[in-house]
Amino acid sequence: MAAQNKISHQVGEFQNDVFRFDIHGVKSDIVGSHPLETLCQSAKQREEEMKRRILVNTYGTAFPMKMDFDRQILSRFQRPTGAIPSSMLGLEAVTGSLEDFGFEHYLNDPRESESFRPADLHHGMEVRIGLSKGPAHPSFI
Amino acid sequence: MSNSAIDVPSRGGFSFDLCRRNDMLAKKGVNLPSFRKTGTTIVGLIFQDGVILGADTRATEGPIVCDKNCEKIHYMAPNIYCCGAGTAADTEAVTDMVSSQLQLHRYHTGRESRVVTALTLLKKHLFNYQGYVQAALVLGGVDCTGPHLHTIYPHGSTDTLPFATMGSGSLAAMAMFESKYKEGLTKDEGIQLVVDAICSGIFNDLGSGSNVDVCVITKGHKEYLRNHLLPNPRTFVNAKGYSFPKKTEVLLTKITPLRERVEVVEGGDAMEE
Amino acid sequence: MSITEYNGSALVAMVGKNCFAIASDRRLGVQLQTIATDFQRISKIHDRLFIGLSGLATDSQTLYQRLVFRHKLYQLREERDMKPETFASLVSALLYEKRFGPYFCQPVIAGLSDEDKPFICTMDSIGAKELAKDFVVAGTAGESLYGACEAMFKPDMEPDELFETVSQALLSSVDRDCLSGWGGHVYIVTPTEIKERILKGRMD
Repeated sequence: MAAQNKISHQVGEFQNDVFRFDIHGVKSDIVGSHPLETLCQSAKQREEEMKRRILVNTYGTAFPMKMDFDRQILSRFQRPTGAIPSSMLGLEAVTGSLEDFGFEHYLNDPRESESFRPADLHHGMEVRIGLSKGPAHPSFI
Repeated sequence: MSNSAIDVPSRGGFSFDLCRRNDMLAKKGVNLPSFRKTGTTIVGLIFQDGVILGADTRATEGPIVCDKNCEKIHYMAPNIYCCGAGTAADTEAVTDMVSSQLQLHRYHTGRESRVVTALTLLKKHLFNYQGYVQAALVLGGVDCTGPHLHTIYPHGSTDTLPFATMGSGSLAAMAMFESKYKEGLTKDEGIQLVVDAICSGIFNDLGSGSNVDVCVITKGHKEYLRNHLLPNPRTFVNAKGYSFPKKTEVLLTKITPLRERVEVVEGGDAMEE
Repeated sequence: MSITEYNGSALVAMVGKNCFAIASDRRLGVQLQTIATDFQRISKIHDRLFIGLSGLATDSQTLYQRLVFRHKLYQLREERDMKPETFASLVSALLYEKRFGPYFCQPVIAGLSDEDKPFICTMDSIGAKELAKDFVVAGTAGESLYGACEAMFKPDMEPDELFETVSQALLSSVDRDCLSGWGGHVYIVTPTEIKERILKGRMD
């Protein structure tokens, strides 16, 4: 086995978890670790925007605005933050995601994650009524 | 979208946790393992009353044949089937996911799925992943608008054709189709032509091999002929098998008896006198 | 060097009559240096279901812990053990979710169904299932294991004969692979018992 093919051992040198991968910089934050990562995150939003633009072109601006109101109203029907996540049935029926099925429904489901952290009810309610910052469902540590 | 307080529970999806580590390893000169490919001949054609799909049954990992009899014709809907070529995990995951989506759609509408629906779902998914999901598909089916045959490329572009081939053996198979295909083939002629095309792939392309699978879809009926033809039977079988007179040396044996599984029958009237 | 060759491994599972065998080598190395000679590559999920994880040892251990977690979650939710087929789908899904940054790990799954029908399965590192009726192999000794098993396998073997066949196939294969070896670890699972045996092999 040629020498350059070996993985150099770096035991004992000054290292940090961050240094091991890369210097934590703006670029790595924006680009992500894989070209697809940002794409996956923005795909749903882009799709929604396109749908909205189609609706605007077809029915005028009032129609999608009315739909947005519906969405906002329906998104308020939520359980108090805690062990059981909100089902969002009404919202899903309006957006059509009720009959959707994709990888996001069975791959890497946060509810089955081993690093799942049960939501803090107090903090979650503070977030919901606007007293505190942060996501209402911090599912990952 | 307005930034209203729509905080729906977060969803899953692909996880990119290990990408950075794997990139780091790759930069250090480590070869990352190759994935299982179907390295394939898959074909499809339209005959007088439906669609015939065909596939070989070899799966390869680099130069190693890792499955001699794998299934490459995937179920999509009762009237739609799909042949997959490319990375085996991708073709399987994509076709399974879309077939679930079609089933959900059928529950919702109560109607038979259309081939174009499957086509749109597949190409939308593949286009979203910009060719990183390496699945080349031949989609065929018969719905209320007649027989349809489509090919889908990994980047999400599609073709609609009377006869189509995909995979590493596509050239060999296409040669057979180009010379013999005509409109209005009967079922037997169609199956024979598909078998010829697959066999041409099996014998002329090293990525394809073993047996021929055929799937015939007609209006309201389908016939999945698994291992329709076995042109490469195993010839080197020792009739008596191997026996080992000198036993292997065992250092330690530990035997754990399994618990008897108790079956509970509910609703019995045992204690009656 | 390929990353799957960093630790070295050999794994094989074989089907017999109402029983199955799953076997591995016992070496853990760091490239050409041997670190341990009693490494456990095969783990029990429940009494009738075993998984062997070949490839990079750090990833196999992580993956194993995640699988045990998911299986326990399933047991709590469903109050029963997972069927081998279900478990194979779970492993496949866990591997496929890391499609673009995979675990360098190739699993071999072997189990007995409720009707005592043996089930064996292997996958590549991103979860492409390969269901076989006779035998499956994985690891750095995979190529030689394919040859040995292809020649030695007979359908419908009884447990004792199956043990002999799988041991001979494993030992003869790891002798031709410098990255795996140091004896073998064989599990024979029948509907009534689990036989775990440690084989003596070459120590070079």
